[in-house]
Amino acid sequence: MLTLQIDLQDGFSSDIVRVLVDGQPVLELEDVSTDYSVGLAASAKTEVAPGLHQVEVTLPSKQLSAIQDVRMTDSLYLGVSVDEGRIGFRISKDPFIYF
Amino acid sequence: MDPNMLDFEFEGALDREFSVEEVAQAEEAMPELRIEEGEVQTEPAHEKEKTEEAAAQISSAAAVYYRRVSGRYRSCPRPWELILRVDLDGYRPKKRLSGDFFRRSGSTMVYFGSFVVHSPSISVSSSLVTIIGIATTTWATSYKKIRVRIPRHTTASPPATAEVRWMTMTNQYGARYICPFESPYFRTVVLEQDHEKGVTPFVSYNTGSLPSGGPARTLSVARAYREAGIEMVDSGRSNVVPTAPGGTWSNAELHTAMENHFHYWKDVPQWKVWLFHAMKHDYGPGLLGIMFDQKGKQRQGCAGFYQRIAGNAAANQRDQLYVCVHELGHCFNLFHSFHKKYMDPPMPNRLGALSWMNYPRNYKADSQQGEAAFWAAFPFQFDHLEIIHLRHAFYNNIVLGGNPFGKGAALELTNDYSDAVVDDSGLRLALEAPKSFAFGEPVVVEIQLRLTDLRGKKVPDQLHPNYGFVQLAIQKPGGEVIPYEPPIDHCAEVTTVQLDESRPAIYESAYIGYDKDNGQIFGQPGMYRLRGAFFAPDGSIVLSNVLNVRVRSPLGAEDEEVAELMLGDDQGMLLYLLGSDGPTLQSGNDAFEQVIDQYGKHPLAVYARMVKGFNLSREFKNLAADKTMQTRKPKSAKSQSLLTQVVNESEGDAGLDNISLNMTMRRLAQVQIEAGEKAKAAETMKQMVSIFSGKKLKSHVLAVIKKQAKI
Repeated sequence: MLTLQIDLQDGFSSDIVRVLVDGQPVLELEDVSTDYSVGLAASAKTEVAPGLHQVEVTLPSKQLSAIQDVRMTDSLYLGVSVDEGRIGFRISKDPFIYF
Repeated sequence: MDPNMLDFEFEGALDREFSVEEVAQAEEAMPELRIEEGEVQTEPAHEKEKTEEAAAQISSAAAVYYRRVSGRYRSCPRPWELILRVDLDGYRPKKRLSGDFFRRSGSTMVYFGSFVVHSPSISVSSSLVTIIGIATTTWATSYKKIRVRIPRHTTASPPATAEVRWMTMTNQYGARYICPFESPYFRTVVLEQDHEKGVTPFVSYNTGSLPSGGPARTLSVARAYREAGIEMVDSGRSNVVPTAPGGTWSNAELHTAMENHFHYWKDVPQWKVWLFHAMKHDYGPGLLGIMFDQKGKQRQGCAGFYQRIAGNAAANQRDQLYVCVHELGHCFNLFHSFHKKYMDPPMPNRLGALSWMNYPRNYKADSQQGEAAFWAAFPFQFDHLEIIHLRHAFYNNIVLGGNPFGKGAALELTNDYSDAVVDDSGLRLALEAPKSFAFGEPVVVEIQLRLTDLRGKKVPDQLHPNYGFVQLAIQKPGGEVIPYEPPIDHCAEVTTVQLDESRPAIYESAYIGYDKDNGQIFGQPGMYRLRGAFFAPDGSIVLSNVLNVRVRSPLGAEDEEVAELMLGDDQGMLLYLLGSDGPTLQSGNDAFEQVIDQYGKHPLAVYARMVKGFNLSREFKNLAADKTMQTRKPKSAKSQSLLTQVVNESEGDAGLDNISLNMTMRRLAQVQIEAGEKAKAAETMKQMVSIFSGKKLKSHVLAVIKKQAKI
């Protein structure tokens, strides 16, 4: 199994956030806000098998939803941000650095 | 209460009785201080002897070394205490004055308010520096004009005392403060550094150890801040803190550690800060540092985590320095360079900032980006706006334990209107408008961004203030300065354009008569002064010329009546939106209708026709109270008729400005195309080229218009 770390990063403001991986909930949080001293709101890890997976992020209070496909061959880091009414993703093989 | 008012010079009378001699002596001082605008006064009597002596020394000396006047000055509390910051010379001068007022009450001292002067005029003689400006204050006062006089002393003499005089805009005197020099630094902060057992805390780094963009020097955290004008005084205490249970720190545990180990910790605003050198945060090795203090009185403590950056290797030492200075920057209420738009109030992000507050990997300048490019160019300093914040932010926006993180994290644009000491931006911003407008006429300015660096430059092409890259400030006839706030914020994808020899400038026309907070801005005849600033992606701020715009007094009853009809809030919003059927704006539409019907030949009627013509050219959807959607279809014939009239009225020197006329003609052609009248549209475009060919436009502008005409 491989580790997929999902970081909720910029643009969250008192949001309800649901994250599903292949339809299974891995994160469901209320009142999610970005801490701009580091640019991070919340983080979760999940174990997945090698191969293609679908990550769905939903902010029901803002009626936003987006899907990102990730191909897992090794541990992977997925950054999720909200910017100008859209959910955006950043994929990295290395952990995101914050300070 | 107003510490700038003359009365408060004598508030000590509440504590003791003043003699009439004392009051008379103070009153007598006033005539000698009276100045006309721009006039430089002689120094105060009590300083005259000293300056004459200094001048004598100067004349006999081969070379004269004056003391810097920049620094911090402090008056005696009686009961108002003024801390004055003068920033006119020395390292990275920002050409500003700022200060904080505190009020003594018994044995307590309470913060009252702050002010800043962004565009002071400065007169320098061999014996005196005189600074005059209009202050932005945190409290309401009629005494906004400030004059500061500082005798010039040579380095052989002690620092001079500053004399501060507050005045109304008509030079009525207010309070006077005598402020002895206190420090060459703008602020002084006590820094306590504790470390976790087993962590070797950072001491200093030679910036020449690895390639960088600045001079090589050995920087400690304190020296990095000293270079910004902030003195960091070591608290003289340092604790070794046991590792947190479980081996990693949560934010709550860090806060508790601060309360227990930071010797000076109190849940109050104070110039004291705690930097904790720790090993690991709960989040993991990806977290290099955090300003964790975001409860109660915030921003008093931060931590660096060494799990990833410990060690003596140059790169590690550089990272340790960077993290420590960066986290303390958050304590001073600075946001990341790429998070500026999330501040309150927001500012454009500065991805290209070579600043302590950027992330090296997020660095993105014109042709360079990424970590290596950042370090190669980074001079180990804060950027221009961050320096201004550190030196001149209002007290609560910066003091540790002041406003919550992000609130007041940057001075707004109106607070940033002095000329740059150095401008290498390669760009010039210009504002243009007719010299005068009729009373009630919509004030439209042309914004031009022009290349001055022949190597070319990529810039955002959204110059309209709606998008935030260009901001405007307007000084009203009474002296009040307001930032122009568009009624609606526009969030749009940033699109850029390459400025080069083939396209050396971009233009935008903006209606700025109606503002979100102030409604109709040009609601009285008189002289208005406008200035703009363009926020370049690399963090440069390009200031425009100061544009004087006069609003003429109405010449007769008809002018007054039409102005009355043009100046309502609804009319302002309709001009901004270029028309709307919205029921809440009905009174504005009624007023424009009346202008067209009753005063159709009046010069201002062209604007009413333009708004109505644009609106009718579009479909309008209205969500009714019963939640049903009602759609009004475009009214092509009526729209064409109105817009054609607008074009005819604007062909010569009257009517719309060029950019608005261009926009109107293209809209008219579009309406004609949508109505299936392609031949008429082609004729309109031909007419557009003909009109603008006769207006002596620059060749590249005419080329753009000819391109637009191809349909």
